[in-house]
Amino acid sequence: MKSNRFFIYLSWLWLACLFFSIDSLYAQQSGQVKGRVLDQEGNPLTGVSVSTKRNQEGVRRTVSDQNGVFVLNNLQIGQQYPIVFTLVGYKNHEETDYLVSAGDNNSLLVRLTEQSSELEEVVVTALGITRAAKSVGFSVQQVGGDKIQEAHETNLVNTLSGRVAGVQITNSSGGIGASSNIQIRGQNFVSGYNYNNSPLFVVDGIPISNNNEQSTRAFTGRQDFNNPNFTGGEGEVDYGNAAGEIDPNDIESISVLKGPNAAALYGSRASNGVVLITTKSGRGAKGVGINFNSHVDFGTPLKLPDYQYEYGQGRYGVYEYVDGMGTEAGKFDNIMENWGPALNGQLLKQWDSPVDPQTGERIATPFVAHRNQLKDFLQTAKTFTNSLSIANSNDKLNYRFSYTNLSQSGMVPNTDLRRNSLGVNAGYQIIPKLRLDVAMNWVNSGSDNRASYGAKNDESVMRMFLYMPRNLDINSLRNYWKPESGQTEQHSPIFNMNGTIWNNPYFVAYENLNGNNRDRVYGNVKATYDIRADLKLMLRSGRDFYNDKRTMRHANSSSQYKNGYYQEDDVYFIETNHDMLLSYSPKIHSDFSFNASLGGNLMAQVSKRLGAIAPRLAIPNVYNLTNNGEPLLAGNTYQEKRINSIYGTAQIGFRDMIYLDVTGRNDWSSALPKANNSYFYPSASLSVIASDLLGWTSEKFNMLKLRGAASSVRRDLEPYRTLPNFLVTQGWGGETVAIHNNNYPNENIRPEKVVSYEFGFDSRLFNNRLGLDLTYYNSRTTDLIIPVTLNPSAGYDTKLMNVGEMTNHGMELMLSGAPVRSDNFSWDIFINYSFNRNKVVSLAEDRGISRIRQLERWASLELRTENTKGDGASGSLYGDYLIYNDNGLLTHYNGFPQEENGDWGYLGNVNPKWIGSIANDFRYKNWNLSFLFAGQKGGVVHSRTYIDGINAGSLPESLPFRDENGAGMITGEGIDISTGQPNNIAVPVRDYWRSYYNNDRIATFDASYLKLREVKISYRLPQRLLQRTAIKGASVSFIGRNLMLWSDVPHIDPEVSAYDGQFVGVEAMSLPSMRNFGMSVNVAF
Amino acid sequence: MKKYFACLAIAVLAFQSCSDFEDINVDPNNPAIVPVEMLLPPVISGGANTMVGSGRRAGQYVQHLAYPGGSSEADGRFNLTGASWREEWNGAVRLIKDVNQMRLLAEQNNQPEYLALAHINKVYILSLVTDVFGDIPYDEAGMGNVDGLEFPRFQAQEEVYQRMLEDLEHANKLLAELPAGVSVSRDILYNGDLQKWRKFANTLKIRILMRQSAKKDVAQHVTEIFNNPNRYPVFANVDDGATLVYNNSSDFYAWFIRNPSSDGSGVDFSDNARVSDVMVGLLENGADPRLFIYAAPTRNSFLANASDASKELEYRGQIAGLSSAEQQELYERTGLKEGDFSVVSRRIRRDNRAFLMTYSELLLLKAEAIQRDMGVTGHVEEVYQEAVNASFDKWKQVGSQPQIQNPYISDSQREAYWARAVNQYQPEKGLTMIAEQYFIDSFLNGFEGWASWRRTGIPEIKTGPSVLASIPVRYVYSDNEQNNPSLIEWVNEHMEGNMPNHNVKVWFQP
Repeated sequence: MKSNRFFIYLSWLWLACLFFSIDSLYAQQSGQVKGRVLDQEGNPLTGVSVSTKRNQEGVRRTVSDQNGVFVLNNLQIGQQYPIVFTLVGYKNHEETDYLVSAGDNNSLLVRLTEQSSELEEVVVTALGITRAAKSVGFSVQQVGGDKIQEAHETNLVNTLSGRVAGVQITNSSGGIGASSNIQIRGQNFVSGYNYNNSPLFVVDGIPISNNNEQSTRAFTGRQDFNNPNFTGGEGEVDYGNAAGEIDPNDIESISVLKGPNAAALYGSRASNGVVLITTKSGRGAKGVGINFNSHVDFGTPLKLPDYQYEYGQGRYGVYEYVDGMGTEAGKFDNIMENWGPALNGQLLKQWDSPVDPQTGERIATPFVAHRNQLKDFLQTAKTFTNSLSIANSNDKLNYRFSYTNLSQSGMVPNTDLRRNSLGVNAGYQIIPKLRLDVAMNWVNSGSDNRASYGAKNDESVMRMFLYMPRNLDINSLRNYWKPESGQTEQHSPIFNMNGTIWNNPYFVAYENLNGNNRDRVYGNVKATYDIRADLKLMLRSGRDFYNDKRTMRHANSSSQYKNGYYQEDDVYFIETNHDMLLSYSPKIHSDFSFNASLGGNLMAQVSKRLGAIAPRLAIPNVYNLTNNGEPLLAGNTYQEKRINSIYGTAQIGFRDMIYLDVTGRNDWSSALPKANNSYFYPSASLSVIASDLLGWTSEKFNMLKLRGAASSVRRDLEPYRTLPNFLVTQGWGGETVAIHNNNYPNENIRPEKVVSYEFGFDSRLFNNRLGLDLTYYNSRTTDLIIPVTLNPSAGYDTKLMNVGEMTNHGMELMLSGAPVRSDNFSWDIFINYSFNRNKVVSLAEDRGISRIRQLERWASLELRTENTKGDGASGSLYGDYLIYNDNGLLTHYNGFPQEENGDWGYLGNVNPKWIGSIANDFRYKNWNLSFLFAGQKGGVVHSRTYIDGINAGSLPESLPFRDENGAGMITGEGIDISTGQPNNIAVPVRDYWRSYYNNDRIATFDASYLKLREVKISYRLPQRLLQRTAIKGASVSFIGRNLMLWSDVPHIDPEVSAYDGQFVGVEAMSLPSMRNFGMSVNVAF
Repeated sequence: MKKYFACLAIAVLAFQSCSDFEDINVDPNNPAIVPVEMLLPPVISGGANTMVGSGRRAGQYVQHLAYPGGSSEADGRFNLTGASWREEWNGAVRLIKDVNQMRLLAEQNNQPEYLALAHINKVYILSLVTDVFGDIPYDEAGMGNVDGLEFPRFQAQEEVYQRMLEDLEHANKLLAELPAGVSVSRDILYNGDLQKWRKFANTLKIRILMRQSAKKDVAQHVTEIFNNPNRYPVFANVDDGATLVYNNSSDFYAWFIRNPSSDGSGVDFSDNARVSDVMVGLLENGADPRLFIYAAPTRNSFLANASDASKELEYRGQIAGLSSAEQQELYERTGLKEGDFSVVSRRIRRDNRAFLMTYSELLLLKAEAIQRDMGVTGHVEEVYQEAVNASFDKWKQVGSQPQIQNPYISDSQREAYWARAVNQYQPEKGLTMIAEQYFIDSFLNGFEGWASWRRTGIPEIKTGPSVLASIPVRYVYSDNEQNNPSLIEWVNEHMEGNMPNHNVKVWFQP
């Protein structure tokens, strides 16, 4: 400590001498130039670098103060000087040959104009520091607030789709409030799958949650802190990802820091990158500005399954309705299959045939196909968004209030979503040195009913329609209560002895409601104190809090809940961050710039759940936890984690041409065992403006920046994973029992480690009309924390271990061009392209660990190294498949194709070979037209719709070989394994196709697709029209999203992510994605 | 300047002082230690559930039950793989980790009574597993928490049985040495009666010994137990039997009791599990009153009888192994309909009991031992008759409801049964009669009925015409287990690298 202090004194002494010597050298013949620097609106600009250099004389340099005032000293009277004004974000300004006269009358007023050229673009980087893009040595890509707002997506994450190279967004479904999955540069981590690979979301410096809190029908709470409890029960309703509900209207800009390099300062949670969101603060507004935005949007399904319309309900071509219960064998009136008679309009007794009041006999009606069952059921989704903001600022105060109301009705009848967002953002310069900023956002969102999903869920809309008899007129289902039942039994054509086995979709939509109400508050209070001109202290405290109250109802006679069901689930989450940051930016030397920051952070996260289920209702249709016909199932969980950190960063710049950054951070995590709970991670990056350095800069060659970065990031884990414990649950007879936790922890777990590096360049050519930015990155994760899947004989499902090694490398390319640029017309093109390659280098083969199952829903997501019949990459699916012999012939036994499902085979990898997008912007006078194409090449998608739909005989793939009556036989092509001869056993068509198509591999497709993601036309009213009104600006725009899809995958949109977005690449009967058309009006007063 | 650095230093120190995180990282909801008895109910019910689950798997192979064609294509027609028995393996072997925890806690707390129960439960659960799967891990099962034992070593079935006998011996000794008055809590099987647990341990020993009797001379051991009731008390009456009474509709027999219909039948006619024609045939042959316990009247005869009491109730078994088309063909040929076959009866559904091991079973094993001259004292005819009576006694009248409401076996039915010559013990076909009784008594205990059939070949059962393979004689290791490196090594060393399929016999089977 003593020696440190000595050094500090020494350096100060040295600095003082330096300044003194410069001053004393030129003291004698001095004249000076004083002046002010303002922006175009007349606001003073602080921190403008003012410099001059005349032959033989040294450089004079100063910086403008709070009021924009600068003084250049030591100039020779009577001489002419070029004076250059520079400020990040503004165009350089030069006063050529300014004559310095004697006396004090050399005053200069300069107005700088804001820089719009990409060359001088500024970006927000870690800790919210705004920097010139050129000084950043790692990959950052920024999306402007206007693009985000104009996309009018309900889920914020979707607006980034196709906008940022290397960022993959997967939308889970077209349902209201649906989740989106976001991933940057592939999967670095294994435990807990996708949500552990989500980037960190930071709003105005404060991390906010992007958790996806799921409620399952078997309430068990959350087991994994960063990951909802996927294995504890089957999720059925998507409650959205937490970052999706930030109001796009409040966003000034989004910066995506892609690699761990960029993120080293945010701590381990940022090792998958950071999405930095800066909200509008009213700063820079002049006079009261009111902005009103109104948007209306209509959504229809982008792609629905192609059903077959040739055969109706039944089996082996036979069907007749008796009572829907199968009491008469061979009539097949109680089965959910379309393997029945041909739909030729022949007269058949059907469920919705009228009953002769005299005889009580059903009167046969024509057996015909109803083509638009699903289309007739689904509605046009409507979204209305109204947003109002008021902003103002003066030299001391700035503020912005905003309010947005969103109301949405979904494609599925009786589903809705509403959201009210209220934001306050204000700053006040209390005294010249002390500034206080406050940002608070309150979001209330909720729904009376969200549609349910899932391929095992009888209430999933797509599943109900997949099994719906093709001959059923959907209108006959609209009165969904059985008339005589007194609203206790639904009207459904298919029963077994005890009730419905197939739900009436209207019954589900109007009676089985999944509601929620969620309050969220996030924001921060920040104080900034200028200790000296070059030393600043910032203290900030921020919080993200939400409480979500959910109710799930299942009415009596629901197929899975014959006696009704009611569940409540309370989700509580809070994260608090206290930060302190000391920034030092001395002016050391004309050639060198230096700044450094030292900070600390205290993070505390608490998550709570409280839930109860009445598994059977005593009184039908009364939804109350005390109306329980059976003992309540209830539970609660509590999880807490803290991380304390200190961090520091320093940057040295040389002549605005070379910048070197170093950072370091040390974390202490409560979730790690004491011996391993402190970990340090460093990073360094370098940016070189080679074009300036080498003197290449010219009209045609505007800039070449080379950059490189390296970092080492460590990561902790969810809490309570270091000590073994017992789970106390309800067991035998409803009594309390205990079982040893199936997921065995590890007392010696170490933090995971990602070492990564990246390098790239950014170049601007032809008057900045062509820009190319390329990044290559490589990362290696070691000490992976994996809940290793054990075999059942080991007793435990998983055991937490540090095993294995995984690498990712890839490339990101951003190309921007302006083929046409004139006063009235311009055309801009932006291209993003990226690929990522993942490799599971090793697991722990020496300890017998060669495969790790991450998630299984039919197809199984597993990590296998290359030597275990796997492809050695993360994101690979394994599953069962048909057995072909060595000669490529399909093997049969008793006429049926043989399937292997003991040792599962490789199906494909869900991660695309590459993803890309092209955006075009055309501007003609006040008109603007833009469109965005986005897509992916490669990767696979596994479709449950395909398998179940063919099994049910509802998709056209099931048609071949059915005869005119709907029966028919197939002799499968291939070999009979018992005889070794070609198969010659004929079996019924239905039975054959059902075994042929009932395997995972046959339903796994190449997921390549191209989408017309966005088309937008906008018109800005000319200023001259508005001159005499109070309106400062007005615009109208039309927008379409997800308009077209090109892909070879049958029946579904390949861009899917099953459940609530956690299982990318698997389709499990989520609602189809939506195509939107919208219009919005924006008026500013 | 100095003071800013001082501030910073203070802040850093403040962080340091907070870094004692141990307390934060302790789960407040789930404890590190629990009273040992808390572990007992899930272990007992888990073992029982494993057995109950076998009712419709193994119980279908041995044709206790049969499914109408097409409704259980994979099982009934033996289209089987490792995925078919996933839960049978996974559910059972995973229980062992809690048995191990019970053992550890009992040792820590010096509670030998719980230690003994841990031994018995481990043996019971894993005996079900080894009976059907063959070679399994025993010594290292459920110890994945211990470093180095993540992939437990497999052991030959013969060795596993040997280790089980040792553990049961140990349990018998522990229980014998207990001071008087010691009991256990939360014992859902015997309500804390440790003497009955001791009898269960020794009776289980008999089952395990007799199981291997075709492969190994077990006479000495069997005799030692039967002839030393003081040292080896075994079941002495029906109430000693290991019978778990399910007491909650959310518990496991739900398969049978779910959705009782409102037609007054007390059964679920839409239940696809029918009583098989083999079982119905055997019972009808001897005019056995257990027919009315096991099988419900057919739906059609029940409804006819309800409206017109003069119409006779009918009982009919389902033929196993039909395809959907063959079932249709059967309906057309016989004029019978879906409602003309019997499902499991109301008494079984209502009682909701799981028979882990019965007194009757013990007596039948004893009769067999006597018949096979193993040295066990006793008269085989008497033991046989007592065994069948013990099986009847499981179905005594409860309450005062008439037989039609809640079937039971009356004394007159019992007398009528024994009045028939065909039901008298005939030594020349004694082993067959014993095995047939074993088959009947073990109804819905698929494991036991199937194991007995695999050992004795009795009763004679035929496969349906439409099956894809011969009757399974083994469960295939769960696909979740098949990548266990220890299993792969075991298979390479002992089975020439071929993972056994369902037609490869396990060791005990002759």
